Amino acid sequence: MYFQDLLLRLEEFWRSQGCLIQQPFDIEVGAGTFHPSTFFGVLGPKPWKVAYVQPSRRPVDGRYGDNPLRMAFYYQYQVILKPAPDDLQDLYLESLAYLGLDVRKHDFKFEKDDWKSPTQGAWGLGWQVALDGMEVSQFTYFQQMGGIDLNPVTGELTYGTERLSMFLQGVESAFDLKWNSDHTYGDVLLEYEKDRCAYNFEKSTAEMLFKAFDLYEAEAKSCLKNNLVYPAYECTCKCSNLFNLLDARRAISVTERERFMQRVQDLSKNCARAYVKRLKAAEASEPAQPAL
Amino acid sequence: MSRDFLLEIGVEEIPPKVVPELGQQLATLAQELFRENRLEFESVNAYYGPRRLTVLAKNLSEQQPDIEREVKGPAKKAGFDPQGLPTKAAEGFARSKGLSVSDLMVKKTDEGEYLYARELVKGQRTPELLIELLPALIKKVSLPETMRWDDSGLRFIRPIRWLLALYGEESIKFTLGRLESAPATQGNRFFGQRKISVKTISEYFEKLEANGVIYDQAKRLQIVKDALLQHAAQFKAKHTATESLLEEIANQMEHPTAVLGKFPQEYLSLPKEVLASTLIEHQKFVPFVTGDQALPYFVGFRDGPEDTEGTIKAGYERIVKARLFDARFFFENDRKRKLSDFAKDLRSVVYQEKLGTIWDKVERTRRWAVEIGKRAGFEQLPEIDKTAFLCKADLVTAMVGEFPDLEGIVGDIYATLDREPSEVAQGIREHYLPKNAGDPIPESVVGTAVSLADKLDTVVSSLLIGDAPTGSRDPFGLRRKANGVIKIALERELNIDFFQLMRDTEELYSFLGKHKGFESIEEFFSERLYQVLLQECNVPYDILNAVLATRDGNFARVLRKARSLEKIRGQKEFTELVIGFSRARNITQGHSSIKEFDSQLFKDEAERDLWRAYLKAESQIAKLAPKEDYAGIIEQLLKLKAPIDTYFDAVLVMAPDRELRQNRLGFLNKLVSLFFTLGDLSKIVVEGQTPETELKKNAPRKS
Repeated sequence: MYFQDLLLRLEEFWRSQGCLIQQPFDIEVGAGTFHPSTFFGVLGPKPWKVAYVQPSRRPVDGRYGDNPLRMAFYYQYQVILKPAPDDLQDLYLESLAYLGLDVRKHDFKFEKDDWKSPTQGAWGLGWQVALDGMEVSQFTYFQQMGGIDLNPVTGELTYGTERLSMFLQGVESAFDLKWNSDHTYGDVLLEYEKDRCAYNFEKSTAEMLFKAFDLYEAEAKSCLKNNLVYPAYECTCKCSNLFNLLDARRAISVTERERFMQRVQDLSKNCARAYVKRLKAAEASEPAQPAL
Repeated sequence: MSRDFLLEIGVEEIPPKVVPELGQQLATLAQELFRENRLEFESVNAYYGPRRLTVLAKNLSEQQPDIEREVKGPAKKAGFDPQGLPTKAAEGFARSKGLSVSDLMVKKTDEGEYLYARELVKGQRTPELLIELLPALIKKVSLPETMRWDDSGLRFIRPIRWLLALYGEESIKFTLGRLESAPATQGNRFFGQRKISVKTISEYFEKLEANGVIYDQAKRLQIVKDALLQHAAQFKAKHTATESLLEEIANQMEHPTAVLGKFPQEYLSLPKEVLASTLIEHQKFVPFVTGDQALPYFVGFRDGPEDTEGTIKAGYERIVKARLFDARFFFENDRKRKLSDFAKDLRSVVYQEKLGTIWDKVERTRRWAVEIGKRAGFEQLPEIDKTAFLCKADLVTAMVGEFPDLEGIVGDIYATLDREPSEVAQGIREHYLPKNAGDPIPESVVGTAVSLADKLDTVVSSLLIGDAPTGSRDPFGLRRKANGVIKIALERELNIDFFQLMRDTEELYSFLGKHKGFESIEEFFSERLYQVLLQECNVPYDILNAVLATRDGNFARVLRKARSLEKIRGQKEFTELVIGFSRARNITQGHSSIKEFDSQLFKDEAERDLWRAYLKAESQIAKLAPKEDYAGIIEQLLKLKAPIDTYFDAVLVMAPDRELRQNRLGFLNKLVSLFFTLGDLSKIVVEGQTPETELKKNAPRKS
């Protein structure tokens, strides 16, 4: 199955489960959880089912395209089910079967992984899903987002699309994946990956990144003052990504890391609070769905 | 009459490290609950795994015994009128218990006389009782982490998905959150049936066995061990799994089956710690060694039958190869440069906004380390300095970026490859010790000096900029680091006055400009010293309050003082001395600033006697103190006991005449300060004397 078909199959499967098929968030993020459809969607009491591909940036995970499994840029497939259904584990396994994977032939484990996203003020309990020892998904019952206790609890699934595709195509490296009949994943992304890594690790200007961080942080705060929740949140995501770039450049020490994460987390929490406030106000007049 | 009882809680995959604790806890709680409810049983056993916690009770009695209970009614005064006739209150109470007034008793209580009724409580039948007890039992399990998963608000470590309770052949139907128990279980997630009906307890175990579940944890552990031993024998090697890793593996799956994998020979050139971390930390795969030599094999475990097609083996080998490839990528990249080059990179890594870069921290650490080396009388000062210079360099290596747990170890490996002196390499590895409570202290003097220096800089600098821990929040581990300093000082019996050392290194922090000052740091360390001495050296709290009153920065000396006081505290003479000293101590409280006095102004003979005794004792103690002859010092102080007692009987310290009063207080302050060579003895609890000391805020609750 081509890489693009795997993405399409996932869309099909989750559409058939009643999910709204959303499009990727257009701001650079480290994971699908940053998409407003997740960040804001899991807040508040209303049921919400959504699925989408999210291009994700993990600067420190880059290996210049030399490592078969790790990239600075890749595609997550994110599924949000609120409230979490009782048979979520089974649904997940069904989705793998729908991709054509016979899990009985493999070693399949739900391995303890307490998911935390400090910059989002979020945590949940669940597992990373290991297929023959390789992590292919995250499976989490969200307990908190933006520092706010979630009620109802949301079930979240994140598929590592490249890794699952490697199992299905039987290839040794993500870059060897057939994207379609004519092109490989490497054709599309290898050069990009190399450039990104050289930039992330060697050539980015720490001074510029620090400055940009401060500017976006200030902008987020100013947006919040004006009750502009979404623009504030977008600036927060910018800060999060800048922090990741600084981290890859090793421009921040262990001690400083805490502080930077705290700054982003404070922004996230304020965005979440502002959003919930809005929800409550809307509830008083008429029911509203998340806008994104 | 009795029947066996079985409870199974079906849970989504429980983290394997806590499975045994939860399983055993459930069995213990069940026993307590049975006892509290007067149910007899022969034994309670626990079976546990990642997806189920099972309790089996043998011969649980079918019925609670009936008991007689006394129920309190109205007061006697309210129950009978002055003529002794029962009131409506008494009659009503009797009626409510199905008795007549003549059946009631009168009993004396603290609040006066009351009417009591004797009531027979019929024992409940066990199956009915269990319906109430089982939800309570499950909610009682204490969990290291909890989560919600539905709108019932129920919390557990992971979602509970099914409940099964059998009493003999009777299914107990109870409710927990949104769940209802049913006589059914589930098999292995992939190799068993989804819904298995269970009518009897023996059927439960048989059906699990037939559905890919090895329910007995001991058996699973044995399977894991046997498989590893078998492969070890095959390679004439040893496997390197710790007992806790084996247990973790056995509790991660319901049907462990070994899968042997191989990795390319070429990766054996990686340092063995790196190989082991790659396999164990990331994959829970077990590597093998012969002697000091790693082998290119590993064993992983899958949950299910044999991997007959080799699919899993191929998958394992692929992930291991990718992991090792990554490790070698880091290693080779790192080895293009020397560790000392990495040390220079620290110039561009911010340690903390106000405290500068890690390079700055390292520079400070070097100064501390050499100074500590000198004061401790260590000879390897150049090695100490070199180690301090290199100790953080591995933080900017790619290897530590990938395996943070290898900090220090990678530094050691790289320093060795750079042909740095072996003391330096070892010192780098050891300077993180003790990292956690229970860790050993560094073995080498080089490691000792650098460990102290690194920790002292971290704690001192953080406190100076006001980053003190608050309550349970200690994000930089300052308490643990200060404890580390103290433990090293105590165990190595270092003769260093750390408070003096801090004051002497103050200029290292002059770049901060205005800071919190050293007073609060001494307080912080005294608090830590109190905790360490109390909890790890078992020094009684009152002796601690005594020896810590003087804020002595020589931690080892403080412990020695405490031990000498512990030895003598029971003796009668000492008790009296404490009482005498306490009088001097109490009367001077609030006047400690008065230091001046003139022995010519002494009026009373008792005053002059005490002055002479003081002078003698002082000159002796001046000689004994440097030798830390605390027994000798105590002996000298004991000689002051009689003159002190006479003094307080004869002399009015708080004389109306101001000059006279000041003079007497000045002298007593001098006397008190002589006692302080040992500590504030008035804080010691002795018979006939309650020290008016407020217990330090962290003093233990008295039991």
